[in-house]
Amino acid sequence: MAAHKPKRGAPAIDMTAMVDVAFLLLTFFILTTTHFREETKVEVDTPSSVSNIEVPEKQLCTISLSNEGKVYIGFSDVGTREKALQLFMKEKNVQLTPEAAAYFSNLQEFGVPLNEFEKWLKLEGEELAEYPNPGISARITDSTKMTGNDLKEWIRWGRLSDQKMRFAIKGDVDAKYPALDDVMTSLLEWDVNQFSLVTAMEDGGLGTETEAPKH
Amino acid sequence: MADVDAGGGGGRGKKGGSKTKKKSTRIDMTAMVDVAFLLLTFFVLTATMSDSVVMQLTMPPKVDEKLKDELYIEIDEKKIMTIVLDSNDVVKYYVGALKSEKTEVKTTDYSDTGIRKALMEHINTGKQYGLSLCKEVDNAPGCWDPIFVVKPRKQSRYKNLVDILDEFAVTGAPKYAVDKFFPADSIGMEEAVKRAEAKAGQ
Repeated sequence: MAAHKPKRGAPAIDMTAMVDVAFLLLTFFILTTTHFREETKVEVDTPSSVSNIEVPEKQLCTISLSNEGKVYIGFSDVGTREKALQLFMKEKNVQLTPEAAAYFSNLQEFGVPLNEFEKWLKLEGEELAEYPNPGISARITDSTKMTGNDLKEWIRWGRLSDQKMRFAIKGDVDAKYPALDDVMTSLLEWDVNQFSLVTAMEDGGLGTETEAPKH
Repeated sequence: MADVDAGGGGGRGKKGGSKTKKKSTRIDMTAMVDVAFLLLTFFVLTATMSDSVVMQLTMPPKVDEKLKDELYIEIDEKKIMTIVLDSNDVVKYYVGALKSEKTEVKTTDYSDTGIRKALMEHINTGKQYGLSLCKEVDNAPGCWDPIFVVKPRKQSRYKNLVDILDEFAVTGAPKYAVDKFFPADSIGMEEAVKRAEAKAGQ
């Protein structure tokens, strides 16, 4: 009989702490990821730039421009969305249920033309959620005058709801310039001549400062 | 692997009266932990990739027609470099007015050796005239302040504008503006190109 019997089998390692940390990190990344939280109506592939200014999270109005030149608008703050909708209801003489207003104030982004707005928000359930978002009109140089400039109206309601509203244009790589020009001209009509262009971060950006843009 | 002792003492305790099964109550969590780490890896990778930043753009404010004459400033033509964003990621540029005989329209791309080089050259042109580059404050009279005017054509895309604004940031171009591309510009550019061709043919 040997005096020292060698240990057999793998030693059990207590992994509880490691698993705890792993789940903590998992929770953190799930909550901080913006990928799934935002329900955007349009896919926008932004070009990259060397800029290092972070996208402001509050008091921001994002105007998205799809590769086909369709325009979508979204307000970052729920309060602003509510106020803007109130202004819409007041000016267009539209009565909406509190449920419809609540649904609207949860939308990150929308692209329903103004003349369909009442019809849209009076729908319920799936019909409401799956209503087509063809983009809103931002046309400036329109000889036909067939459609009004919805974007201009929303910019105005947005600014009236929040005086310190900042504007960002989130354009697709392949969006044609005239569409962007329409959006910029709509902003200039209300004397918004400072705005941000949303881009993806590029490697080797300039410096390290991460100052938010001031208006 | 990662096990949790779910029972108080598990099957090891041999206290009398216990009629429950003596099997181990340890739960095998290997699969769960595997999934957790897989998800963790996924979220870590996607979280860092969706970084978006903004670049500031200031457009000239809307000017009242009545004030246009008052606000008119004469600018030395040789300070102005006009950059025309054309279709298919082509960029054309010229210094000075199109009417001038000397103005030459050049064609390039968005690469480091393309438009960036041209921008740097224009910024450094001041040295040729014996002028130092203007600073933000305390400018010597008659310092060199190059001005860049971007004129995107209808066929150009959003990326082109972002690219050129990016180049301004990289080269440190102090003054730039985005302007409309007018039909007159198109005619002027064609004439300038023809003039250059005629000159080359001589």
